[in-house]
Amino acid sequence: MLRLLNIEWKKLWPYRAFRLLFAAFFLLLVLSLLIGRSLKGDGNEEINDLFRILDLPNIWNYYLFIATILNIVLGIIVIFVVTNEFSYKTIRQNLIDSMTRGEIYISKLFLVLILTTLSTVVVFLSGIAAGFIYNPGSDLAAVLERSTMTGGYFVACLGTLSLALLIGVLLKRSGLATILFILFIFPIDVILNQGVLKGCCEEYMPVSVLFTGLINFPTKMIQSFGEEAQTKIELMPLLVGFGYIILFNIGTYMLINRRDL
Amino acid sequence: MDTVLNTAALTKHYGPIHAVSSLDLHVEKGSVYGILGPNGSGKTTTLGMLMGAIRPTSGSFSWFGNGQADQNRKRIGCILEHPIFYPYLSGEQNLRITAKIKGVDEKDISRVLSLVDLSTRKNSASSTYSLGMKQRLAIASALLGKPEVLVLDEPTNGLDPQGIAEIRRVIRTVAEMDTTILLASHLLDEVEKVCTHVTVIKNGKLLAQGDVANILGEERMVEVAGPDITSIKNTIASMQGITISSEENGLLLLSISEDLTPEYINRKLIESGVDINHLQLRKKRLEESFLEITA
Repeated sequence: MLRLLNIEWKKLWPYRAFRLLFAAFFLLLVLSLLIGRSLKGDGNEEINDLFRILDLPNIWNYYLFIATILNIVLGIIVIFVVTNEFSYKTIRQNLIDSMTRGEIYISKLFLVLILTTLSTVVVFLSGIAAGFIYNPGSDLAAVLERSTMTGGYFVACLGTLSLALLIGVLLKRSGLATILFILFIFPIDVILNQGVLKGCCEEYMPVSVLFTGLINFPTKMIQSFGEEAQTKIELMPLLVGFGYIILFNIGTYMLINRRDL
Repeated sequence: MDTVLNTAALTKHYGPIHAVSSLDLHVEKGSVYGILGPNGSGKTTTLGMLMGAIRPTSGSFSWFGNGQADQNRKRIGCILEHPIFYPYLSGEQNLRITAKIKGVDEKDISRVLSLVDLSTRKNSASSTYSLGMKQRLAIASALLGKPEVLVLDEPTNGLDPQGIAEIRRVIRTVAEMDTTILLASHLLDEVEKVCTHVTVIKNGKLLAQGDVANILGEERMVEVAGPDITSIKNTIASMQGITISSEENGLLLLSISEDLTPEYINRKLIESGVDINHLQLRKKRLEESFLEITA
């Protein structure tokens, strides 16, 4: 297992473009916290004064939601990394050099797991930091309230990256795969649900689960609507999310295992 | 002799296209085995199947008498088609990845780099290499860990004469180290110069298999003509070691075994009372045998 990680590391780390891409992503993830502070609302008030999104414990819902949306960017990075292996044909060379098809799949799963873990840690730590920064004088217990919702972010991120991996392996070309990935996230999921399934299954559709089911859209917290922010991760989206992760990974494994490389 | 590779009715179809049909190969340890065939004859598809990259439609193969196990590939060094590398990594960084995959000590990298004369450029990105250098780097990568078998697919394709000579020098050096080599090529000359055994394939079908000398050897031919072709043919038919290879415009082309001479044929014909007006020895050229086999 460590050997596979080591190989992935040797492939990616020496490449400056990848280092920059990853660094840029994590910077974006941390900086996205500041949006709530700097945006001005209608009466030139800061958004936060209007919606209290950066107040504890609402901040977790707001920040985890923003981070969930940014998973799209991380997904595109995964697509680039994976489709590169196909366009350089290095995936075939790895196989010829005695990697098994199973190992090829597992090393890509590792990539996805590591990126998910890294961004979850970054999100969790910057969430805590933001909690203190925007709510001076709070104690740790107050900041950590609802922080366990980060677990929902982990599942959402793993699901989105598993989808990106599947689409990358399926289409092998970065441009096509990126387009399908984005189409899937925006219209396809809705069309499938509304058109084919007659709107019955919104809460079970992959994109709905991964982008709003696990971490809810933060309109709920807008105080003027009198709604509460999300307080915890619901069980159903968690189960459905794990279901999709397993499904996407089985698909990826079958493609790598059965196809000519 | 130990068998390194056996295939049994190895077949690959892409829809209606029969890329490889029922191929039986048999490669002995220590041989330099050529797979000779025109472009598109199924050489790369065959090697792709042997290396696990392409799933056979039917049939089977076995490396080292050990079936199709993934572990077998650790004992084989292979380049398929073009040299394949991570273009943004240096030659040495690329070899580190191969070494890690094969479980070979990284110390071996400097050995293979100097074997192909690339030590001075090992730190440049492989995308900056010339085609010849890429091909040499690919061979270096295949040589990591001193594999028992080296599989090369058109190793000199697209190289200048100097590059070709360089690659052949490396192949010969490696063959001397008792490495079994499987070499696919459409270049007759290359197979003749480098290989001990050869299989000729076309449209995915095996046409001939055996020692290079037997398959592609220079056959001795004799041209005969005379006023009465029929009686010449009858006389020839009664003689040992001679077969009529073709007949055109009253000219018979005979292929004769090593121990026979034109004088002998002449004497026999005269003894049988058959007149001739033309008798000439000629050697069948290599290209002719190849074109004949693949025709």
